[in-house]
Amino acid sequence: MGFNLITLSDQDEDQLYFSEMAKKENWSFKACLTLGDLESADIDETHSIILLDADHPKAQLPDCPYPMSKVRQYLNPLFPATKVFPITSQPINRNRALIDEGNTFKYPFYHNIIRNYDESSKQILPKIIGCTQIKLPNGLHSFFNEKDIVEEMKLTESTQREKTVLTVEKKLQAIGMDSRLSARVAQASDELLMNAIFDAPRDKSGNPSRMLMDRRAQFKFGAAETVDLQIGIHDNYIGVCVSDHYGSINGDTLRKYLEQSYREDDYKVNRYKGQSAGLGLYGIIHAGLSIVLISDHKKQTHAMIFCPRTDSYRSFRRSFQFSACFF
Amino acid sequence: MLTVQKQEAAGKTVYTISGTIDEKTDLAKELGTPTQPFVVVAKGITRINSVGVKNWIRFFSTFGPKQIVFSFEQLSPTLVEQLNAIQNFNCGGTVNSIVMPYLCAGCKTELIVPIKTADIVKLNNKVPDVKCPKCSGNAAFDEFPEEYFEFCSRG
Repeated sequence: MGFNLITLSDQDEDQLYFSEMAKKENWSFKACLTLGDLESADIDETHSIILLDADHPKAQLPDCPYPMSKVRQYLNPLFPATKVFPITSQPINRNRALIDEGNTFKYPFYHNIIRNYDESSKQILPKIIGCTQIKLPNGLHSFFNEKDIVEEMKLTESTQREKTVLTVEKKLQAIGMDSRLSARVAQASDELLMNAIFDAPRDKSGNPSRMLMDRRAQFKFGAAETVDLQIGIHDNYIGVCVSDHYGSINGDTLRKYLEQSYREDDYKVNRYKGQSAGLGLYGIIHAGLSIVLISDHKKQTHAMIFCPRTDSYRSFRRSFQFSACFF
Repeated sequence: MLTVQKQEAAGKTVYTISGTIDEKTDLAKELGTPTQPFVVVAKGITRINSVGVKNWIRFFSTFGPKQIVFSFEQLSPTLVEQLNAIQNFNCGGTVNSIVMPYLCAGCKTELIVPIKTADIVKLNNKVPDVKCPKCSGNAAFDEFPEEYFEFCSRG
């Protein structure tokens, strides 16, 4: 099934990038320069994807050609927020126009694209867009091709976390990723595993059941509590997916952790209950990794990170970055 | 796992730390409870997770109220990343120096080069290449100066 990509942006590079993507994928494309253009465009909630420039210097002012508040007023009643991809050149959690319009788009971090249009982004972004057409993507396989390697590891007790993280790091080093980037992805994997083991579990009443536990605790998981880790390797990027069987993360949780900026506010060690530091997702985004969260309420969460296979850490810092959420 | 070497020098205790900092790291146990000025040399820290960051801030924040002066030297790239991400990561300690990551274009050797914080401004965000000790080729700074040195611009 095809898509109709619609850019609402006066930036040439946005129009060029997405028109080329549409051509390659055999999708249709329309460039809108103003909200008026968008209003007169043929939009349908099944096939249309709106790629919205969130960096316009007047984004929060009424004389902007596409003021955020008016775009919201127009789109909210007729179009699902899950099919709007704001594009920014700033780190995802620093764009005030997006954060301040949080109530507008409900969750400013549903999907975001950082304007680093490299080769590897051309491989993965169509897959992210493709996932908006299915109810919930099926783990890492939705983001890789059949010929790509996707390995799976199952954790049945908490003590396996450390070894699993080291395995991830060694696998990435074995395919030629530099040691810093391998360590960074391993670190992010550790955060996702800790979330799955300690933060995700709920008791029968829906209350967190392990959030207060010491992160050093050694215990076996119940039969329905296993944590799965997948690592996928594409020619241009890698992905790690950690899955739990609770489906307890939601947009509000995500927003709470991502919206905070410890660059401007002190980190307080007593801010979060229990042993959690509340820095895992924040650190992943700050490091420049891409993140995809898929949550099937009360059933399953897939938390994924993606990273381009670059020839240096410096190149990684200017490669694709995106976030996407499917709740 | 964290390893710590302790030395006394010029009236200061110098702790050289390396390895990983995570939920198993008990900094109070590893470093003790310094009662005099101390220095932490940290070029060998390769990973720090979120619970490790929390433990780090909890531990080092105890010295300011006790008027114990401390400083950091040769902070590794992974700690510089935290320094840039969290404004109170240094917990009142002085960052005297950090290390800069380099990558050799020819043989892909990864290097680290120390730099004093006071000298970073003099670079004016132009970081010169260095000679790779392995192949004698050019090794380039493997970061963007305006981002890597961002912590220096904080008031």
